[in-house]
Parts: sequence; structure tokens; C-alpha cells
Amino acid sequence: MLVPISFALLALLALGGALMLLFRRDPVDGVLSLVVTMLALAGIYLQLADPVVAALQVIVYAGAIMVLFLFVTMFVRRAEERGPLGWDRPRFALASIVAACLLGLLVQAIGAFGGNTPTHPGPPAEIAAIAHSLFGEFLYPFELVSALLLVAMVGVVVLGRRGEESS
Amino acid sequence: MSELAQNLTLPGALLAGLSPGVAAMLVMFASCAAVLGVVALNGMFLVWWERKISAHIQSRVGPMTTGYWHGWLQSIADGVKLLLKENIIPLMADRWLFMLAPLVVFMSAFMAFVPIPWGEKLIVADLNVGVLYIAAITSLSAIGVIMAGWASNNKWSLYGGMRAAAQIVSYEIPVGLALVPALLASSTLSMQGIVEVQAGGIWNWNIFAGGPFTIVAFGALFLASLAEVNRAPFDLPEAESELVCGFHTEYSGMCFAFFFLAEYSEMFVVAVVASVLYLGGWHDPLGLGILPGPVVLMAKVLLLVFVQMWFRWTFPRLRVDQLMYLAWKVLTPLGFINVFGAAFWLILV
Amino acid sequence: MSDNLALIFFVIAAAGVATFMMGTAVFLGPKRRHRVKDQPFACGGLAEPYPGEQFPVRYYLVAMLFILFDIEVVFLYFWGVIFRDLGFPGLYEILLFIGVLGAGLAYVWRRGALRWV
Repeated sequence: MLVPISFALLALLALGGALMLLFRRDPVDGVLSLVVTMLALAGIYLQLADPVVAALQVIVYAGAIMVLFLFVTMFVRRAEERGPLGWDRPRFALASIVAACLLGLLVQAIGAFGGNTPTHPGPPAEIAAIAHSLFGEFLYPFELVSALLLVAMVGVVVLGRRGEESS
Repeated sequence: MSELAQNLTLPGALLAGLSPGVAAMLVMFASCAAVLGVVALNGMFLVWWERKISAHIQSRVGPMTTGYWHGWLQSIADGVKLLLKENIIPLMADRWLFMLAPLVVFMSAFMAFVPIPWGEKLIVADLNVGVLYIAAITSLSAIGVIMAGWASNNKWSLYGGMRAAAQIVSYEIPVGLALVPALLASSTLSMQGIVEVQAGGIWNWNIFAGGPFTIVAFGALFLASLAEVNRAPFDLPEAESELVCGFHTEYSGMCFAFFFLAEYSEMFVVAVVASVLYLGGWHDPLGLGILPGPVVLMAKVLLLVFVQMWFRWTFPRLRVDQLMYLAWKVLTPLGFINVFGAAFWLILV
Repeated sequence: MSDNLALIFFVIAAAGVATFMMGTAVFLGPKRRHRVKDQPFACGGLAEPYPGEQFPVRYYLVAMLFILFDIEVVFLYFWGVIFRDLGFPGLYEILLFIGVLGAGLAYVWRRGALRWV
């Protein structure tokens, strides 16, 4: 009884945040509404009895990536750009193509479940079990993540340097 | 909740006549009211205490009049005053975001109280991801702080908010690294589980589990969490000599009070985390178990909070570049060394 | 599930109490608006219409590095929980992981991206 209600509320919240992101005029307001979406998603993960993923969602997405987005909007924002973003034709076309691709992917992913989408909580995920599979079965991908993070670090410095020279 | 219903010793008479669901709901209600009370009392007490400590460090006496005995009613009087003050929202500010920001910062501090173990059976919810949960929920204060700076439509607020956010995220890394040695020693993320491992006296506390490395990790945790909650000597976000008052420059009345309450709650939370992870939580130093858990935990927490205040009134504020230097070039490498040192020590010794 | 219920309860209760107190304060407090008083504070000068300056790129650098190291610390938490089960092999695995990222930190340091001036 409680589960469908809270799921509906969280889904509405996530959707509302996403819609706000689209229709708020200011990019900073947009990012802040995206935070709402991220937190609502964390709530849904929590409801699916996965507190680990919920906590990671809050740490990585709501706490870290949203701060990055805010800093980036502050960096690229100029005073005269506080108005609405333009809906010029090439931008709109590009956005539509990307959105259509994403929608296709989503439909495919949902279809892959074959109607068995897990909406009801199972047994709570054990953090030790996740850790064991991370350091057992998925050891090589895990070690590769460090290489990925290293590449990202180098990329950050290179891009940051360029930004510093131009500004 | 089951935990509470089973463990929290409510009078049997109350539970006998009620269905389990209703009884559990009542227990939840009571625990929520209790935590709200702790947060409010803690805020009022710490504000008064800090005023007294700062006064005595500076050879003054601090508040003496309100309430006759050393001004003990001062915080309550201040609270009433703030409640009756005008709530000024600057022109062109985003009114909704402006009001929402103190709420976000306060909630991020308040929600961190949920998995705090106060005693053997005294805990609201022993989340199995306890430490991860606290790291997650407190990281949201960065968002609230930028929100406040942005919504105020004031350049000092925005600078203060951005600086605060940059500081909070930078120091989250050293804090996270300084938590790991304690996790190595206790092999769990549950706050209650970490306390249980440290039973039986001061020599079993995590601070001594990894030899010198855990001692240094505790020190690093204390320093970095001071910066995490924007306390002096790391209070650059509200450096009054350059930024007026930082992100809460434009706030007045109750909205300001919530930022203030959040700051003191965050001080309390980081002191609790340090006490639980390294200082044995609600276990007393001799392992006697005579004193009730909340008393022991409060003693440790208040000691740490006292040191936080002592620091504030002793050390001058750092410069921004020194702050970042300390976070990335001192505490982060030190954190890595501590993690591996503690790991080797725990395996070999 | 019961833990989730506690979290929901606490969120609602705290938000409710805080909103109620702020609402009471807005209701009780005086409401004397004035063109000059409502100006954003600017040390006595006239405030700019809105803070329009660009923020320097170093904020972006810090936030990006924060994300990368944050992910790394989260992996360390997972390792910390099962560290005793894994023993020495686990230690070498994580040493490799951290070693690569330590090299990253050294690179970032050398390139001066950690300098905040």
C-alpha cells in the first residue's frame, strides 16, 4: 500500500525536476531542479531496497556532479545570458536527434525486462556482497576504472589549462 | 523501526493495548521528537557555550545578565528575538530559492542524526550503509550553500557561496580518506557495528588499532571536518574582511537562524562521527559500562566541540590558496599514506 | 524497509517543523518594505543589478578533481568493509588502483592545477 504511493510521489518529483530543468529560463535554476530529480531517483533506489546505490546516487550525482554543473554554469555564464536560451533551428534539430536516440535506448532497455520490471523491494542489498563481487568477479574492470579516472584527470588539466589561457 | 519497537523500552502498558503498527508509529514519533529536541537544545547550548569560551579566551566574561546565572538564557532570548524579526528578502532575489536554501542546509545537517548510535539499544535506525549515508547526506550542504549565494542576488553572497562549495567539496576527499582506516579496523559501515567492535576499554578503540596511522588519521579527520563545516581557521566562506558575511549576507530573522542552527548541528555531527569511528562511541574509556551510553558519547562529543571552538578563537584565518594547499597537497596524500599504513599494520601486527 | 520508513518520517517531520518555524517568523515579524532597505548589500555602494561576473576556471578544475577522487574514496569504502577477508591479495589490488590514481594526482600537481591563485 505504502510502496505504490511513495513510488508515485518520487516519480512525480523526478519528472517535475526534469520538466523544471527544461522550462526554467536560467541555467542555474535548471541545475538546481536537476538536483531534485537526482534526489528523487535516490529515493526510488532506496525503495527498491538498495541503500548502497541510493547513497552512491546522492554522493556522486546529487553531491558531486551537480556541484560541478553549478560551477560550470557559473563559469560559462555571462551577464547578458540571463535571459531564455534561444531555440535556434540547428540546436533544436540536434537536441531532437539526441533525445530520440535516448528514447530508443530507454524503450529497448525497458523491453529487455520483458514485463518483469522490479518495482517491489527485494531483500536489502548487502554491502559486503557487493564488495566481494567487485574485488572478485569484476576485479579487472575495477582496475580499469583507475585508468579511466586517470585519463579523465589528464583531460581535466588539459582542458582547464586551455580555459585559463583564453580567459 | 522493528529495531526501535523491540529495543526502545517503552512502557509495556502503552504497547499492550495497541496494534504493532500503531505502537511502532508512536515510537517513531517519539524518537523524531527526541532528535529534534536534541538538535534544538544542542544549538542553543553550543551558541551560549561558544560565547562564553570566546569571551574567556579574550579575557572577557561574555553574556552575564539574561537568566542571572552566567547568561544561561541568552540563546533562548536570541531565539525569541530572531523569531520576531523581519524576514528581509532583497530586491530581484529569487524568493522561493532564497527561503529554500536554509532549509536544505539545515536538513542536510539534521538527517545526519538518524544513524547515530547513542547506546547499545538506543539508535533511530542502524542503517547498514551508515558511514556512506552520513557522507552522502552532509555533502548536500554544498548545494544549499550555492543556492543561498545564488538566490540572494548579491555578489558577496555568490562569492561566499561558491567559495564555500569549493571548500566543502575539496575537504570531502581528506575526510573520506580519514574515515577509511576506521572502516579497515571494524570491517563494517554500520555506525552501531563500528561502536560494537571497540568494546572493552580505551586500548580497543579504533584510534589505537592501526598504530601511529590511525592516530594521524584521527587528527586529519578532525582538521578536515573543521574545514568541511566552514569553521575557523577555515571560515573563508564568511571571511568578514573580504566577503561581508559570505553566503548568508542577505539573510535575516528565522532564515538566518536556520543557517546558524545548521552550523552548530554540523559541528555536533562531525564530532559524533569522529567519536564513533575512532573514540569508541558510547563505550567508556575503562570498559566498565556503568555510565549510560548517551552520557559517555556526549562527553566525548562536547570535548571535541570544545577543541573546535578553542581552535576558532586561537588561530587566524587561512588564505584561500593556503586552504586549497592544505586540502590537496597535504591532507590528501597524507590520507593515502594513512590508509595503506593502517592496512599493513592491521594485517601484520 | 523499516529504516526507509524512519528516513521518510524524519524528512517530513524536519521539513515540516522548519517550514512551520520560518512561516511563523514571516507571519509574526514586521513587514516594512523600503526601496533602499531591500537593496542587496554592497558595503554602502549601489549594488549591481545582478552579480554578473564570470567565475574562474579553477572552480571547474576543483569540482572535476573532486568527482574523480570521490569515486575513488567510495571504492575504498567497499574495500575497507571486506579488507580482512581479502588479506594481502586485496591490499595489492587496491595498491595498484590507488597507485594509478596517485600518479594522476602527481601529474595534476606538477601541471599546477592544484594551485589556487
